[in-house]
Amino acid sequence: MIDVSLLRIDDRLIHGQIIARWISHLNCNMIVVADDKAANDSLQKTLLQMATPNNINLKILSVEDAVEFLNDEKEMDKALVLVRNVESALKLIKNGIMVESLNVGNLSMDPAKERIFKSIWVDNTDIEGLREIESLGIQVIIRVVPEEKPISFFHYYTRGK
Amino acid sequence: MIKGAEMIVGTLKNTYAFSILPEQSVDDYKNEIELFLKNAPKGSILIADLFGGTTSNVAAALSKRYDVLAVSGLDMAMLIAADELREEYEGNELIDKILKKSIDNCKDLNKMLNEMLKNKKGMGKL
Repeated sequence: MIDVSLLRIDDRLIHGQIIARWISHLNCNMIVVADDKAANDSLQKTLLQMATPNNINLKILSVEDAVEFLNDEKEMDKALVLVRNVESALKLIKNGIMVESLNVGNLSMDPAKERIFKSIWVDNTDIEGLREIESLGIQVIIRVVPEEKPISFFHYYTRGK
Repeated sequence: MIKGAEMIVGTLKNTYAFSILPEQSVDDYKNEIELFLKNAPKGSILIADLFGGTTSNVAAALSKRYDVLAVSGLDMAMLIAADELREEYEGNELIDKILKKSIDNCKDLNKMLNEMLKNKKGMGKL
């Protein structure tokens, strides 16, 4: 089974924070992008591959295929798993992906959503999804880069209310 | 960066900067540049900063859709080189020259100075 060292929601997928900070902090050898849109877009797949350092194995899979891959008993890699939205994170977790916490990294500006942190915009559906994830015993945290202290998403969210 | 370069070489003509805000979506940022590229001349150069970062990912994506050159590793040497050399060169040759200028600009100053001082000793008084 893949050792998921970080599950992160980040709609930028692979970018500076990931390649310059998280990979070395986690000391992982694999990135799994679990995203239906990316998995079906050959140009985006190539761009993601280009952005990934050579010593990191990259898998770009639909959320469904990612579930299967991450649960595969034969796979032994240590991976950083990236999803684009709350919905995909919830789907992975409900399908048995084992993590202690969920990192909410970047959910970009969306006029239909509410900004709760510098780079995190959510709507009610997102909040419901994140609540469900917490109710499953997984801590939802905000930590943009590893140098920052983790903050509980809901501690932060309810404080702002 | 543009202002810094202009202190050295004077006004950079037809040079524009697009900053991505922490909360800005990649699509939003890409659209902003794309709107601009629609009216930009063929062979315009996109210079992104960190390779593998959002700016370079977006520049790479745009280079597939528009007739533009795209590089990463933005620094002042590169910016000045691009401004100068695009008058004279174009295409791959232009890019090679710009990248070389940027790489040549990286120096270990301690080492360089020490070596020069050492050589100076051997040469006696300059």
